[in-house]
Amino acid sequence: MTDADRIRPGVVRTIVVTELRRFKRPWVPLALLVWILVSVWRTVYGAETDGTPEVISSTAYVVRVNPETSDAMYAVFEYLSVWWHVNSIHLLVPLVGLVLGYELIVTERERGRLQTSFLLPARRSTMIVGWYIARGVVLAVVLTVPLVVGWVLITSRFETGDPVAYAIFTVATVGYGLAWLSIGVAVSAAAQSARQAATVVAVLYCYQLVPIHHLIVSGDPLYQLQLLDPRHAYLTVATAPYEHLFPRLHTNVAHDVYNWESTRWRTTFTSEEIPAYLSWPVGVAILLSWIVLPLVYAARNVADTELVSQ
Amino acid sequence: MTGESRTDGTSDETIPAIEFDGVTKEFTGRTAIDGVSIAVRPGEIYGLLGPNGAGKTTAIGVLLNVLRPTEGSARVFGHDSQTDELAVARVTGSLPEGFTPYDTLTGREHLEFVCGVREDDTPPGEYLERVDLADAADQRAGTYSRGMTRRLGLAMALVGDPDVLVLDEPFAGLDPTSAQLVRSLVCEQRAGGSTVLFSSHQLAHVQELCDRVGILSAGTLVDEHILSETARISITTDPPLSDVPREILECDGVTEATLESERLVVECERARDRGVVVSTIVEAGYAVLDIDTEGVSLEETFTDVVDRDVDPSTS
Repeated sequence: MTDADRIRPGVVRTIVVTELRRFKRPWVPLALLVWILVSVWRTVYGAETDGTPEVISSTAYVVRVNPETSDAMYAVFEYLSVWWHVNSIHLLVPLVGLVLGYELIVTERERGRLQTSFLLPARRSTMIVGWYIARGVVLAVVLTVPLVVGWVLITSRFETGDPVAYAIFTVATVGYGLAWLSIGVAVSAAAQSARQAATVVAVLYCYQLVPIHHLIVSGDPLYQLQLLDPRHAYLTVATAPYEHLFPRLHTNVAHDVYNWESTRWRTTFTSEEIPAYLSWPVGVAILLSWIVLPLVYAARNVADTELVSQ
Repeated sequence: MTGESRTDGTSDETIPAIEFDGVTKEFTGRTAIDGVSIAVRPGEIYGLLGPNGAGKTTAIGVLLNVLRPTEGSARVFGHDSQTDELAVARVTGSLPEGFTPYDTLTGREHLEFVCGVREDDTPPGEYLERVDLADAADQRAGTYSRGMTRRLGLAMALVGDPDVLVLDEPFAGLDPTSAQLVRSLVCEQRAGGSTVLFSSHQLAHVQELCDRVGILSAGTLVDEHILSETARISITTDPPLSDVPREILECDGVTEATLESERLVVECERARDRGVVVSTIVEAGYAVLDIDTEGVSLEETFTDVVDRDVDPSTS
């Protein structure tokens, strides 16, 4: 590689800034507002406890084994219902990532705009990384601002609250979004048309609506494969600060659904030990893999692709 | 001018600025171009001429690494466009036929983008002024007319003063004023030492600008035509000339002018200089009764080629 072939930071910065400028669209602040409203809703109306020991609210992760933990932790995990809930950002974050990513390449190719950038003296992979960084920034803002608003509300309602733990939860959430952004970009690179990409994205999104966490913790035979699911990695990382409060393995002995919006789980522990494959470093590694590998695939695919079809 | 191609010796006169070497491109079920070989010399303006579907855009697509050739290769100053695409992109400014700007970016932001990637410190406004878009610099490109869009694309192609300019149908959709602007810019680039390759099916622009023309038909290079060859123009005037007007000898491109049996015979560097000669005679107070131009014109060649390639059974 010659000096001229090396990635130049100034060039990457130009690509990122230009891509960010393209997001001067009315729907961006609108999307941000929607997320803030979701955040307010969950933190104000979702963080309820029923006062019963050994009962958790909305998530199989959170076990109220210590009364003193009836605080901000619950509010945090109101974001993370693993059951079929529209109120869980666990289910909504992938939508943001996929929407931001799936049109990045295929739509631009259809509109003839890939040539506008790819005819310039920068590697196609550099362009894609620049675009990804820019969209990642948009995604991070869209996810972080509502969570910061949520944090303000949480600390106003609860006496305790660990800002470090909340920061880890926030970073994990952004990382989870970046993973789905990467997946969206990979779909965009592989698809022959925007319609095809949209179809694949819809299928992926429907798949990720299927709850898998309870299959994992209940010892489903396919759990080892499901451990690679980015959702599980995200939950593992997001809950890492609370490992001292609840184990990763437990069984559901009672599952009462009071109504569509309110789920209560009673759990008993099968183990006090956290298995290595459920530890946060493994979760981080899996999440990073979901960020990097689809992006590498997209860059390689585009490097070998013709920019127009006839 | 980037200067790179010159400092590394690749702009040696013996190396073509642009070279197609037996390029074939097949799409599913059809061959778009078949064994096209062209060598464009440094500093030359070369026109790719042909009817719609002749393969002009495909050939340029291969040169710019937008399309992969099925066979053969394309090179810019010796750099293979497929394996050395960065080197090609550094010395090449291009305007693809389907150039589409980013709707939400302004013209100035487009130029800032290209200047940033090319690491060119020239203020973007200067490029916009060159294509007469300074007034619309802060207007979103999505609101530009087709002509403005083409001029924006041309401004982007000029960033960094490239050694090679590749323009695919640069006159498409342009009004006469914009077309004249593009012609001037092409001439300026050539005067600065750039090599220009452009495609068009508009003979007038090709004839006015190009040193050489390659005529593509049905994917094959059927003819190469040198436009700089001397043209001999014979003109009959009313009243008949008694002497060669001095203004004729001062016309650009006129190398010699004589009277033969009261007909003015003018030797021109190029056939397109005929227009200047005629207008000069008219301005001198003579009516032009008859003009004969010796030599095969581009229009005749093009028509011959296209007619020859039309399959009578399908017409």
